[in-house]
Amino acid sequence: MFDKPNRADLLGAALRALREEVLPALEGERRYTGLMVASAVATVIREIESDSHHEPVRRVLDRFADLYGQDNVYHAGVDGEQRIRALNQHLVRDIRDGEFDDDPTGPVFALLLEQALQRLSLSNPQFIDASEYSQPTPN
Amino acid sequence: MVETHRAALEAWLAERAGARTCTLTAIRKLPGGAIQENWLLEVDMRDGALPGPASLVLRTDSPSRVVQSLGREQEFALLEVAHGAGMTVPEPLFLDSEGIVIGKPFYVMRRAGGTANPRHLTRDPTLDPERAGLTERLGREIARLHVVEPPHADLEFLGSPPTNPAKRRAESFLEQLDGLPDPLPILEWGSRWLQRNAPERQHVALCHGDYRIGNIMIDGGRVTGILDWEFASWSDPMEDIGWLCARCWRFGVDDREAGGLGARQDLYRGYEAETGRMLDWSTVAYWEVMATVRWAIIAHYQGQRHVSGAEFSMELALTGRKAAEMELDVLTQIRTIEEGR
Repeated sequence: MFDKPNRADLLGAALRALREEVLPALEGERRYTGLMVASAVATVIREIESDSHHEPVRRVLDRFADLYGQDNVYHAGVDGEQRIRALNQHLVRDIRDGEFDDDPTGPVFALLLEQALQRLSLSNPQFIDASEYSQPTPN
Repeated sequence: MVETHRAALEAWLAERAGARTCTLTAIRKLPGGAIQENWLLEVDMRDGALPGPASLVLRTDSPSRVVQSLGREQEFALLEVAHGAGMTVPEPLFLDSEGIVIGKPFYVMRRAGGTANPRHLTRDPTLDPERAGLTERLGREIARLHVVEPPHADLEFLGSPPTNPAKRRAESFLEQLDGLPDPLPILEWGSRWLQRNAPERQHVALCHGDYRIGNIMIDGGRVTGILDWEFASWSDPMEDIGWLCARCWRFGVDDREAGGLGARQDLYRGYEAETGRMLDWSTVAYWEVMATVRWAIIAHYQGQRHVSGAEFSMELALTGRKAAEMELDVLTQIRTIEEGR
């Protein structure tokens, strides 16, 4: 666990070997599977990096605080992910009850947008910049 | 698994076709199909309805099925109706609704030539001279299906037609969201918006439900078959148009707004040429939001199928994570509509 290269280094090496040495030799369905494996590994590397600074979780919780107040965010759980889940359960009930019907693109929108952006920063950052759907796309 | 039933399949095909003999010269599983399995059958029959060599496709369930998809028997009936309406579909031939021959229900149809591969169809430059004609054709094809209206004696399994298809669809999203383990506020918000902004003017006809590149076989400049009928329903025809044109089904080729294949105007022109009248396309933007929410929910369910252990699939696992892309699109699309009011 303290050994170097660490888990991110190893996965990074695996991804590079996959892209540079394995993928060029693959064709058809196997290449498609290879591309999907590369995409999955790249996502995991970004998640490992984000675990060290908690940035995506913090940003989402800040937007929740704007909507529900800092106290409610603090009391929603013991760690960031648990808080987001509990607050989202509350949020979906509020949406279904019509709490935001008068202003759907108002303050609630900022929170929803932040959640989409932070999830994409891990799974497909290109989508944020270029709005590019990930390839390969399932049939 | 279909190979292990070769003899039974040969006997069954011969009997159904009224042939003296049927020889299966090749059986091969076709790629793709997260929900259904398709097997290529090369057959050679003596006499009967299909004499000589022929390429057929056997379609059956994959190991786990998705919510709300129709069974093989119903899909077969839909193919027959679409075929009768003059739509280009693989000709439906024989149905085993009982699952006697290979252990699960299946049907056999003629094989449509060409490819349905989205990466090829949206990006291959050799197709460029054909794009306008192909896209217009897609408009004509779906317009033929939309001529079929309820009630229809062979389609009773589709249930009673909704008075407000958009509202019913948005309501079904809430049920589906309740069936997923995690709260999904963006899709909840999108569904709420769809419920509250349903178009006043809707029409009800037979809709394909999954009309997009990937389910349309194309050979050069020719449409050879509309596939995958398991999501057909009575709905507003604009739902099929919105599904085809939504950004999430353009396979990354955004400037070709008709499914990544061609121009939206060509699609509309073909549709209007087939129906012989001008149409109001103003609700398509709404139906594109509907399409994006729907695909996002399906993506979450597909990811869940993998996570639950029901089915191992790299593709299903990644599709679950792909939902965030559609969710950002839902936010952007609705904001654009709201700002344009």
